[in-house]
Order: sequence, then structure tokens, then C-alpha cells
Amino acid sequence: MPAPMAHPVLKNGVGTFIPQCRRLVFHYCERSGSSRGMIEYVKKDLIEFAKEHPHVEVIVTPRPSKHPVIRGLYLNGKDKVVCVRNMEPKDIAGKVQLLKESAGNRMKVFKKPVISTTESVRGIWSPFHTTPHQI
Amino acid sequence: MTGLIRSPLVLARNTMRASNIIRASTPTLNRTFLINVKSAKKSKVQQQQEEKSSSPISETGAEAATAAQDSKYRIETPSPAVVAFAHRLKLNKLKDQTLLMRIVTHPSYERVGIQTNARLDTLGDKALHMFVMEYLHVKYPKLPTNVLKEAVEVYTRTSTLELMAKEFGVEDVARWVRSKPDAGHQLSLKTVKASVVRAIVGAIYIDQGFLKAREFVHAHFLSRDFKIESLLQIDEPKHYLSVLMKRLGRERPVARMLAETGRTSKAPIFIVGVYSGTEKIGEGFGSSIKMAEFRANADALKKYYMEELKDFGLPSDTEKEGAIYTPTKIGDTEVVV
Repeated sequence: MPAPMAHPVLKNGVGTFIPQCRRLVFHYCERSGSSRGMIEYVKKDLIEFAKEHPHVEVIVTPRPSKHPVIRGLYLNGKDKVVCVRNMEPKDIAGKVQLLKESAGNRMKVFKKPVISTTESVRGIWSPFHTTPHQI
Repeated sequence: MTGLIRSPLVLARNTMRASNIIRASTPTLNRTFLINVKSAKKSKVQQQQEEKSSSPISETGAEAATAAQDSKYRIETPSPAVVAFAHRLKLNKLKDQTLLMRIVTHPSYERVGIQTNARLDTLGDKALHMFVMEYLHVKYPKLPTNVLKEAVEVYTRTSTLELMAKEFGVEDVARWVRSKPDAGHQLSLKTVKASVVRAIVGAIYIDQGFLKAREFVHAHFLSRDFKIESLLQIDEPKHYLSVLMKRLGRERPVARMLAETGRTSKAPIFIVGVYSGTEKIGEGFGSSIKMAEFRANADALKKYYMEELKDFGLPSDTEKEGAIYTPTKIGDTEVVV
């Protein structure tokens, strides 16, 4: 089997930064009370948000008889869904911020303090390259 | 009550989609639209005149024909997804915003009046190759020709562009049509995605000029992480190194043991250095002396060929106003073994 083809790997933020959130979909229900805050947010703040973030496609669509949710779709093909039932517009703005700034990756526990894909500049310690131990 | 709420919401929904579009393209789009309308009118008149004079072979006839063809094209308003895509890659700075729909349309998407990215793709391909080659050529002056070619290929090949297209979100916006099942050549999404990425470079080149296109290529292509030394594969490094040293007029390479442990054990380690005269030119490790020597020779060759310039100017800097370009030294030609 031939070796897998090597590709130049993206280091997002080096050279340029590509925002990872591509679309935000706002679902609300017109009749239920849990959507009250969401409706207020959509009426008051969402247009401003859409203008400030032209790289995010904003879609507002009703979803009757269901709690309001915000769905973020990302460039890595994944999505994140946040339920915003009974929330005030201020809190919803926080959730929108969260979805907008996320890269769409799943939550992960980082066990090592440093994660790097590049070699250490100092190199790995070698017993052969140190001055011999004097007894 | 429902009706009362619904109307402003629907309104909000429409304005929101519209606001995205408007923000991106209103001023320029209007202008280009007006210009196109004018040219379209003019072209029709020209066409009529040409028909009267009936000289299709003449140069003016050809011009009028293309102008008439242009007038058939309709000005498309970019969809919200395309506008978002454009802002993601800062393509909203393109003077001609009609290029956006053109960039994302593959020639397989055959519709009346729709413009495709075929020409932008070709232009972008050449520009991309040029910028990448220029950069790598100056940065690694001693890189062997075949490795240099391969390195350029790595940055510009379809599979790389497809990967980039995924990171740009091209699949969301690309317009193309799948080949018919009985067609001899099946068009793949991979090809389409790569064409869109190349068309972006082409569009920036034609719309914003040489330096902006270079900026885009440097930001999106050359900032990526790739180990070029992985392309430098030499089968017989010992022989190769001795020929190289001879060519350079330096002393012939000698391998010397630097350190070792457990020679008679199951897991020995040897560290071997390669010297030309008194200068150590490479070092390698191995569980056998032969392997350590092999690695040491390969290391010496890698250090020689992968020499990297840190602060350097590019020939294309001459395009900048007031920029002074001092050419870097062109590296030695490679050894024929």
C-alpha cells in the first residue's frame, strides 16, 4: 500500500484566520411562552448581529410547538445546537456569541499541558550529548 | 395575536437575509450593473450595425459578437451563503462583486446567461504556480530541481486544493452538475472544489491585481505547515555525499563514532558523525553502525540541500511602489551521481 499523500496542513491564524462558524439557524415558536425571549432577541438584536458578522449566514425559521433552539453549522461539517427556552435576550446573545466563536469541535479533555504539532526547538534530551558524569 | 407577531418576524427574516446581501455588495453591484446595462445597450446597437454592414470576419464584428454575448448574461445576486463565503475569505473587497457567483460556478453548470469560472480557474492556476514557485525557489536556494517541482506540486495539486476548499466551505456554495451515468468522463466534486479555489486566486488577480493575489497565496497556501525535507529522498546517501563534497572541492566525508552503548547487548545504540576535514557536517543514530552511518550521511545531505533563507525579498517585490529588491544568490546546481 502506498504511503498516504502528505498535504500542507492549515494552521488557522498563521498567515490568515478563517472564522469557522458558517451558518446560524434560529428556530422559534410563535405561540409558546418559552420562545418569548427568542422572539424579542430576533426582533431587536439579530439584524445588528448579522450586520456585524457578515461571514455568518443567518437564517430565522419557525418551528411550531417546540422550544426555541439555535443551531450553529461549522466548516468542519459538524453542528452545535443550543436550546434557549425561557431565556432573556441578554442570555441568548451570550449563547449566540458562544456558537459564533466555536470551531465546531466536540468537547475534549486535554490531558497534556502542552499540545504541539511541531518539534521542540531544543530537541529531546540525549545522554550521548551531555558532558559525562563525574564521580 | 399570532398574526401580529408573525408579520414583523417574517419581515425580520427577509431583511436579515437581505441585509447580508446588501452589506456585501450594494455600492459596487449597482455601479457594475449600470455599466453592464450601458454596454449591453451599446452592443445591441453595434450588433445591428454589424448585421447591416454584414462583415462577420472583421475585427469589429468579432468585438460586437462578444459584446452581444455579454449582454445575454444576467447579473446574479449572490445568495446569502455565497456572501458569507466571500466575507470569510475577504472577497468582499473585490471591486466587481459579480465575480462572486462566477467563482463558485463550475463549467458543468450549463445555464443560459450564467457565467462560469473556467477562465478564472486557468488564470488562477498559473498565478498560483508562479507565486508558489517564486517563493520556494528563493527560500530554498539549494533544493534539487525535482524536489522543488514536487514541492510546488504539493502546494498546488488537486487534493491539496480540495482540502483547502473544505476549510473554506466551498461545498456549501459551489454550483455544478453531476455527469450523466453513461458519460465517459465522470466529473467529481473534488475537481469542482479545486477549480473554485483556483478561480478565487484568478479573480483576485484580475480584479485587484498582482500584489493582492500574491498576498492571498502567501496567506492561504504558503502559511501552511509542510515538511519539504520529506520529499528529499536519496537512496545512497554515502556515495551521494562523497560526490557532493568532491564537487564542492571540500575534503571527502569521514564517518566517526561519537558515542555508543551496549555494543554486545540486545539493544545497542550508536551515534555516528560525518566529518569533512574537522567540520562535522552530519550526525545520525542507529541500532547498528551501518544504520547510524546511513542516517548521518542523509542528515549531512539534508542540512546542505535544505538550507533556508530567513529574511529575503521576492522578485515580485518590484511591483510594489518604492520597494527595493536585492536578488538573493542563486544556489549551486545539484550533483549528478
